[in-house]
This record gives sequence, C-alpha cells and structure tokens, in this order.
Amino acid sequence: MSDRETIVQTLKAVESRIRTNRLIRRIATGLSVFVLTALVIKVLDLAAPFPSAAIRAFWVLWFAGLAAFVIWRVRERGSLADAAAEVDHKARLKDEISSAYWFLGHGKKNPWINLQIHRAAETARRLDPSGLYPRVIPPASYLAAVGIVLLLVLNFTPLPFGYSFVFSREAPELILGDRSAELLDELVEMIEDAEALGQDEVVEQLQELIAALRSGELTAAEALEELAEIQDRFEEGNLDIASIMEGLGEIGTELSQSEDTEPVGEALARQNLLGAADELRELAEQIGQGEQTSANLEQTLENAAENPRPGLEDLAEQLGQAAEGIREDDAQAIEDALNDAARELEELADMVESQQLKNDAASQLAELEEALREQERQDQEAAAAEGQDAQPEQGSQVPGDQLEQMQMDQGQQGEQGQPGQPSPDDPMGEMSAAANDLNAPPEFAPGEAGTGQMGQQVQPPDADAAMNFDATGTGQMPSGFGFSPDEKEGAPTSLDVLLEEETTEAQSAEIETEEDAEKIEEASREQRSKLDYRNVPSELTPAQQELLHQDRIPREYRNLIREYFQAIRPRPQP
Amino acid sequence: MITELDQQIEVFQNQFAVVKSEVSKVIVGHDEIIDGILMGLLARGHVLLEGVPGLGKTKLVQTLSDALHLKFSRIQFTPDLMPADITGTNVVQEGPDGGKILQFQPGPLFGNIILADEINRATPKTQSALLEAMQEKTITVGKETYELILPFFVLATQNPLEMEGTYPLPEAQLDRFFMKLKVDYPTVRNMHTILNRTTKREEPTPERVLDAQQILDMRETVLAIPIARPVQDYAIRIVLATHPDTPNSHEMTNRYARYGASPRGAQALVLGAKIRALLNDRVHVSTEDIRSVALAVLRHRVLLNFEGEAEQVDPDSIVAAILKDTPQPRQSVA
Repeated sequence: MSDRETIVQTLKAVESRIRTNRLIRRIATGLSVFVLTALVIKVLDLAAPFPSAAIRAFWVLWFAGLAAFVIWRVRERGSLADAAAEVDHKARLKDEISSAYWFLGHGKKNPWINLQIHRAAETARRLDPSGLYPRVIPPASYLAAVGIVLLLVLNFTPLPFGYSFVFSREAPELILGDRSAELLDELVEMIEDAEALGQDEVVEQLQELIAALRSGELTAAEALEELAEIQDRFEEGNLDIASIMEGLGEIGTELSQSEDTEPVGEALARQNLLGAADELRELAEQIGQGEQTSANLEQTLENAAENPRPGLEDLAEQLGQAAEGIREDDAQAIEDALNDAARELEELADMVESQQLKNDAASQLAELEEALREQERQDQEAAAAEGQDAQPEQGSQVPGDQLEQMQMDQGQQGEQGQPGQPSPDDPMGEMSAAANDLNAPPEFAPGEAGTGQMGQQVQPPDADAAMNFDATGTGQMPSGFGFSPDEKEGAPTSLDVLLEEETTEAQSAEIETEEDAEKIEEASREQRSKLDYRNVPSELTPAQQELLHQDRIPREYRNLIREYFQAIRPRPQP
Repeated sequence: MITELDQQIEVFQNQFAVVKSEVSKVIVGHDEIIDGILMGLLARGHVLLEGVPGLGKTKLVQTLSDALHLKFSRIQFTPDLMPADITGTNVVQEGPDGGKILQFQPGPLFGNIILADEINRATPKTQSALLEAMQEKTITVGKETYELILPFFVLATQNPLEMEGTYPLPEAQLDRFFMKLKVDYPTVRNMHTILNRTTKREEPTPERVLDAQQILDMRETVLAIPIARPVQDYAIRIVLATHPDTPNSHEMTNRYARYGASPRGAQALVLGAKIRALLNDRVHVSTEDIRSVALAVLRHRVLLNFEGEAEQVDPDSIVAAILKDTPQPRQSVA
C-alpha cells in the first residue's frame, strides 16, 4: 500500500469512527431532549388532560421531529481533512497527518513533501482508530433511557388519575371521583357475588358501563343516561314482585283458615317462601302417609286457588289440584300437587331474591348516579369560578349601560304589572326581553353579562321545558346531561313582547293628512322616550341580587345561549 | 533521496546543537534566547535583544561570534554616532600617481555579525542608516552601492529602563528585526553557575564550530521545509488579527493597537516555525510551531496607540490574546 493509500485509508477509518461516535452521541442527546419533552407533556397531561386531538398532533410532531433529527444527523458527513485535523489533535501529531493530507491534494511534487508524506504514512500505519476513538455510551443515552422508562411507567401504571398517553388514547371524558370509584367497586363486587341476578344482557351492559367509566371513555351525560337505563331495567320486575308478594299474602291468609295449612299461611304471611314450601312438603308427606286432614282443608285450598294474581297462576293451579285430590280422596294426587306447589314457592322465592339483588344493584346505581351528578356540579362550579377569575371585570361590566338597559326592561315589564314573573301565556316573555338586550349592540355584548340577568327574571315553570335552567334562577345553563342536540337545534321559539305604548308629542295633534302621519312617524323615531324604567323597584332581596348578578355561565355554553336568544329574537312583521 | 534529506535534517540539528552547546559554555541559561538568536541567524533575519544592563546581552553576542567562523563587528550606539560611522565613508587619499582620490572606507557594518549595542541611544538618523543594510544587505554611499558579506546578521540590544537620552526605534527599523527577545534575570541556580564560571582565573572559551557556508546551507534547509496551507492560513490570521479596525482584528487590537504586523511579520512567523519544526525533527510546520514563535516575532510589530501607551499595555498581552482567540485549523468533530 502506497503512502497515499495508507493515509487515505487511515483517515477514512478515523472519519468513520468519529462519525459513528458523533452520531451516537448526538442522537442520544436529541433523543433525551425529545423524551424529556414527551415526559413534560405527559406530566402536564396528568395534571390537566389534553384533548385526544392535541395528543395525536403532539405525537405526530414528536415522531416527525425525531425522524427529521435522526435523518439530519445520519446524513451529516465529515471530511477527511476534518478527520486528519482531529486525529492530529487526538494523537498529538502536531498537524502531521493533516499537513500530509493537504500535500496529497495540493502540494507540488517535492522531495521534502514526499518525505513529509512518507513520514506521515509511517505514523498513520501505527495509528489505531478504534483505540483512539472507542465506542462510548454517551451519558445522554442514560438520560434518554431513564426518560423512556419513566414515560412507560407513567403510561402503563394504572394510576387512578392517569391513562395511556403512548397509544394516544383520548383523555378521559369523565374522571371518577373517590366516592364514585368506591361505589363502582362495590357494584362490581355485588355483580360478581350475585350470580342469581340473571338477565345476563343487563349485567353485561352494566359491566361494559363500569369498564367505560373506569377508562373514562364516557361523558358524564352518557354515563348517567346508561346508569338510568340499567337502573330502569333492574327495577322492571319490582311491580310484579310486589304484586306476587301481595298475592302470596292473600293466599297465606286463606291457608291460615285451615289447621293443616296454617303453618304454611303463617310462613307466607312472614314472606318466608322457602319455609312455606317446607311446610307444604311436610303436609304432602303427612297426607301421603295417610294421615287425616282437617275438614275445611279442601275449602281452604280452593279459596286460596281462586283469583290468583299474575305470576301465581301455577301455584294456584297446584293448590286447586290438591283441593280436587281431597275431594276425590286421592292421596297421591294431593301429595303430588302439594309438592308441586312447594316447588313453585321455591321458584318464587328465587325470583324474589333475584329481584332483591337487582334492587340492591339499582340502589347502588342510583347512589353512583347521584355521586356523578354531584361531581359534575362541582366541576361546573369550579369552571365557573375559573371563568370569573379569568374575567374579573365580567360581572362589573353589567352594572353600566347593560344593567341600566336591563333595569329599563324590567321597568317596562313592571308597568305591565308582572315584573319578573312569566305570564301563563308567555312564560318566557321576560327571556325574550332579555334577548332583546343581548342583541342590542353596542351597549350589550352578547355572551357576556346579561345572561345571568335572565335567570333573575325567568323562573321556568317546567325545568325540562326551560332547557335545564338551574332551578335556583341563577341563569346557569345546562349542566351537560339531559341536554340533547334536538333541544339545542330545535325550531326557534317565537315570543311576543308586549311593550307599553307611549304617545309622542307629535301624536297628540290630530292626524288629518298622510303627510301628518309621516311627520308623526318621523318624530316618533327621533324623540326619545320619557318613561323612566330605571326606578322600577326590584322584588329581589340584596342577597338575591348579588347572587343573581354573578355570571356563572360556563364558557362553553355562552355561544349556545347567544344562539338561543338570537333564534328567539322577535322577527319583523312581513 | 529520502535518506539524503533525513541526513540533511540530522546535520542541521547537529550543527544547531553544536553551536548552542558552544555558546552555552559561556552563557548560562537563556536557552530560549540562544535558540531565538540562532533562529534569527538561520532565517536571514536580525534580532533585537531587550534587557536591563548586566544580563549578558553583549556577552551572548560576542560568544556567538566566537563560536562561528564569522567576522564580528561591534558598534556602540551613542547619541553622537553618525550614519557614516557605521556604514563607512569616502575618504580623501593620495593615489599612486600622487594625486588625491576618494576611497571608500568600510564601516563596521561590513561584517557578518554586527552587535548594535544600545541601539536606542543613537539618533533616528543613525538608526535609519541600518535600514538598507538590514533588509537589502547593501550599503549605498554616494553613488556607490556596496554588497555586504553574507551571512549578515545584526544583533541589537536596548535597555528598556533608561528612557532619558534614548530614541525609540522607528517602526520601519523595528519591522526589520526578525525577533525581539526579552532577556530576563537568571535564576539562582544559573547565577551560581555564572559566578562559578566568571570569577575564576580561567574562563571558558567557545570553539569556532560553524563557518559561513555551513550557515548558508542551513538557511537553505530551512527554506525547503514545506508548510501546508491550513497552517499557513493560521499564521496569516494571527498576523491579520494584529491589525486594528479590520475584519480579522482582535478586540484588544482594536482598543490598544495603532499598527499591526506587516507581511514581513508573517514571513518571520513561518520561517521561525520552520526552524522549530526542523529542530523537532519534523519536515512540516505545525500550528504549535507558529504559536511558539509568535510572541517573539510579533511583540515588537504591534505598536500601541495612545490608549495602550496610557494604560501601559504590554504588546505581549495583545499577542497572547490573539493566540488564545484565533481558532486553529481544527474542528472539534469527534
């Protein structure tokens, strides 16, 4: 190998080692930065979950950025001149290799240059690139590894407040509170213990709901809707059971008339169906052994078998057959009928027990539902409080022109004799008046204050009809559940506002010609009203007014409210 | 061929070492000064020695001349020294026919090694008489130009303390010095050696080990050493950094310097680096060689401005800052 080849090959080897080490180091550094960024986002996400779209966008950017970084670094190449300078520095060769490399490319042929190249080649042969540039695991790689492990732990550890971030699962729509989670656990235990529940479909639905609640896939509204449905299905048999138990009581009363069946009747009176079944079997056994029965047993059994309630037909039929067996003196038939009746009672006992379990489950569901509602309400209050903090001047903007305008409207309604009270014909008349305020720029900014004022004036006669307006009259908007899209997008309500007519000065003159009418019209447009609506006394106490003046409309509903009032705005007559 | 060059390098190193050894018989310590003086000699330059009286500057030059088969002249610069006193002049003499003729009488500059002792005591007029001799190696008197004998090597000394009655060297004169070497006090150990050698009946005397031709051959060897462009570029960037208010100037240069080093400075930098490379058994110049000679080569070429003079800035600190901040032709790519 010539001196030139020796030097070039050595430099290529050095450049390769340098490039690889540099690549490892820079990729480790870059990766650690990327992983730390993801960790920061994950920690922030644990505190305040991001929307799934944001997470997906973040991951797309994250992977794209990482890929771009890696490609950029991989494509980065160093020159042999750089490698020569570096190896000179590393091996303390005092620029021997870099000088020789430069002479190889630029130097004129000269004995002294050849000597220099020859000496440099000898030096290059002694160089060990792998020894000079050993593979070293950069410290940043440890940082990256720790970051990755932390990220995985935070993603896969079933923390009560976390969820998988790696797989871009959506942020939970609903994070269960402690009470809700506790109720959910109890419900799960109840379902596991209660095989007698039957109704596999409902149980399956309930289990799916529990899983969805734990994973946070459902919104509060959806969860409550599902809970209510399952609850209804669990309680479906309650009326039947009540009827059956009542019917069994009646049968027990009848059976208590006979000495032989009195224990059965008493057991039925205590709603001890299994005890009653045992008593019936004992009676059947006695009859089967030929023991004498009381004289009124036949009549007692016939009476008990009469007019059975729904669900007790089979029992009544068995009792009737037993009575018929007594009448025909057929001991075997009596014994069989009584044994059948005992089995029927046992089945009824199972059914009652199953229903009781369902009732317990339904009760548990009701508690869970209540807990979720409470949690939802607290979230809304917290959101409203944040909104007030974010816009501390929001409420104070009302008392200016807007409040004055509102008071004028109140006064106008007060002169109609019913301030703040919806008339039977027009229960939302005041709302429409407020809507006029909302749509009266520029004094009144839509979506800000004024929505709270509506609540002061309007007491919806029917909570459902009033779009879930808070019953307290604070003007708070729907809480999120029970507010279907149909209600949002329904046909706009048409409301007529009755305003007191005020005679203008021009109108006091007699209208004789069409020109006079036009003058009056023009004057009425220009003349301001002299009616003072501001002095209308409020029926609210100061505490109520202070409460009602608070703007507690969640931010996300403000547009909806504005749209609503714009929709019900009185239309000009065609 | 390569073997011949290797032998040539070896000869160079040996001759350098022999001269240095002979000088060291008399001069104690001052290894760097001796190296610098020999570098100046081999680089076809001249050396300015600066130091307080009594440090052996003159002795060093005399010893060097004793070690070389060269003609030595000493000029004691005084305020009344005239240019003709050093260059020589035409004198009226009686010709063979009895008539009067003008005949040139060579001055002390007509030698190989010239000791210009306390050069700053002469007037600038006289100092300037050295300009042509130092650069062109000629002396013009009247209409006649006389070639000086080679090697021509001026060793000037000056005292930095006594400013009274002295004349700072003109910039053009300073630039003609290859190096400016600062002679410092000897160490205690070296003082003991000095006293031991000079307070006895017999003082050591150097032998003449090198003649003019050998010196000229060594000069040729120096010039043959190649230098790669990146290293030369480094030397140029250092020199350009001494120029104030230029794109390559250093911050300290902009603030304290009036003028920087000329291309002659860059030549000196490279030549000095080549000699150092040869002495280190290398046939290429490294940036380290450049850096090692930069201070001696550039310190007298950086002229301070008013602010620099007022703040008594040492030009060495400016050169050191330049060396510190000028990036070497190496990238940290590993």
